[in-house]
Parts: sequence; C-alpha cells; structure tokens
Amino acid sequence: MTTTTDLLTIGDKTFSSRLFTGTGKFSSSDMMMASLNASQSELVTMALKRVDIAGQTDDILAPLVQAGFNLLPNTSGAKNAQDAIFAAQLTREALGTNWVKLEIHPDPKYLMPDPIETLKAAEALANDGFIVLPYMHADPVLAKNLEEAGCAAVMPLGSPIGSNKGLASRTFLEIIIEQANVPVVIDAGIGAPSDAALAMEMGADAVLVNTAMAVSHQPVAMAKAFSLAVEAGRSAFLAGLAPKAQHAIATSPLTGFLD
Amino acid sequence: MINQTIQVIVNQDQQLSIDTDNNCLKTVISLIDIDTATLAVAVNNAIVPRGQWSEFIINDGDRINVFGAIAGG
Repeated sequence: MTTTTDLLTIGDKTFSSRLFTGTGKFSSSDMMMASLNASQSELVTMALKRVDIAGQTDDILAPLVQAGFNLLPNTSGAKNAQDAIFAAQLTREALGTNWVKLEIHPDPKYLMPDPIETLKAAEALANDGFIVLPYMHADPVLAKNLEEAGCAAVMPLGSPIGSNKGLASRTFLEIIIEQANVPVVIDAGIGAPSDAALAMEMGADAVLVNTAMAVSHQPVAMAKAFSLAVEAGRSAFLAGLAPKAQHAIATSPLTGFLD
Repeated sequence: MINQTIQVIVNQDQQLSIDTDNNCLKTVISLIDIDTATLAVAVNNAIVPRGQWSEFIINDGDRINVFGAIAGG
C-alpha cells in the first residue's frame, strides 16, 4: 500500500510507485502485461526499431497505452550522441512523449554507458525540451554534470545490464544519492527484491527492474515481490535505519534474574 | 503523359516501385501493411512529422526508414 503523501515527481509527472519496469525479455505481451500490472509500476521503458515490414510483430504498445502506463522510450542501439539524439527525436514523433531514457553503450559485451557521448546528448536533448533520464555509470562527478546539463533524473547502474549482480557499485551510488538534487533511479543489475529494497533503504528515489522479473520462472509473482520490496525499502528509509555498532548492545536487561 | 515509376529503399533492404503521379510519403507508407498510429518515419535520415506525410514528395532513390516501438529495458 503506497501512501499518497510519499509521491515521486520527475519532470512533469508524479508517481506513487517507485518501481519502474522494462518491457524486454518477457515470453509474451500477455505475460508482460500481467507482470507489469502485478508490479504496480506506473512508468515502463521500451525501445525503438525499424519495423519488420514483412513479418508480424507482437504489438506491445497498444496494451501498455490502453492500461495507462507512462512511457519511457530508450535510445538503445545508439553508439554515440548523434545516434541517441536522432533516436530520441524518433521516439518523440512515434510515441508522442518527450520523455527519454538516454542510453549510449557502444560495447555490446558489457553495455557500459559512454559518459562523454551521454553528457553531450543530454545537454542537446534537455535544451530541445526533452525530459532526459540518462543511464550512466555510478560516477558521482558525472551525475553532477548530467544534473547541471538539465537532466530530470539520473539513472546510475548497480551492475551490468541484465547481469542480476545487484548493487556492485554501492559505495558510489551512496555518494550520488547524497549529492543529487534530482531524483536518483538505480537502473541495471538489480537481480533480486533484496537488491531493490537495499537501494531504497539507501535513499534511492526509485529503481528500474526488467530482467530479474522477465526471466523469473514466475514473472507475475516476482513482479509482486519487487513491488513489496521497493515499498518496504522506501518505508525503512523514511523511518530511518538504526545505527550499526561494533559490539553487541543488549536488547534485554543484563541483570541476572537469579541474583 | 505516361506514368513513370521511381524506386525507393524502405528500411534498408526492401525496394518499392512508386508511380510518379502518386508519390507522396503518405501513399508510400500506405503500401506497407502496418499500423501507422505509432510510427516515426525518416526520409534520407531526416524525420518527416506525421502531419507532413501527405505533402512530402518522394524522389527516386530516397531511403525511407520506418520505426516503431518494441519491447526493451
């Protein structure tokens, strides 16, 4: 249950769910829709591609729009700033949204985001009226640069895309969260609900999850688990975690009851 | 006047023949059997907004690319 007083605002939109979801890797669009509904997500990513003129394509867009999801098209496939800017302009024309998940990863093996090209594209797109959410390495200096370039949020990675390795970049995510003046959305690598809960306990504003849900044996059940984890982590962050101590601190009186 | 045809390349590898007396972009798109509601179209790498499809004239050798949404993270 999300409290209506704890809303997340990015750009011109306000969200009650802090779980953003991708639409890739689901076995069918029916499974995708059932999972996204179970996740209670309100913002979903998608990609753009040349349409297959000869063959039938599985229409993912119509059910998403019909269900009222906000769309966050990405620039996946872009290898430099120029490609990404063109991709963003195409998505704005095709989908009628100025929101864009800016991702530029020239190397297909690790899909590491190119910081220099990402910053260039972010500046140009923000100046052109886009709501830019850049996928980036967990680099606190770059996060500030992207913020100053006009990005509406930053999306640092936990670990490589689709790796399910969790928050390998934790120390640097913590610095980004501490310093950010825009929402921080932890993207990529979140492999388990516990990773999502940890991100939220650390003070992340939201997380983006795709692979961990889509390739689970039961995507719908996993989507629900992620929803609960994000909510639990957020509640814990708001409540304030108790401090850690090096030594035991008794929770019961230590006076011997036989004395 | 005899109708002539021009050749265009759609999505990099498909060749289409178009009558020169009916060579606006909207007509070319209508030859492709897809839902046009959520497409973006670029001619020679320049985006042509949907509202301009019916006035935009296609020329011989133009490269037309048609993009749509697919699943992705």
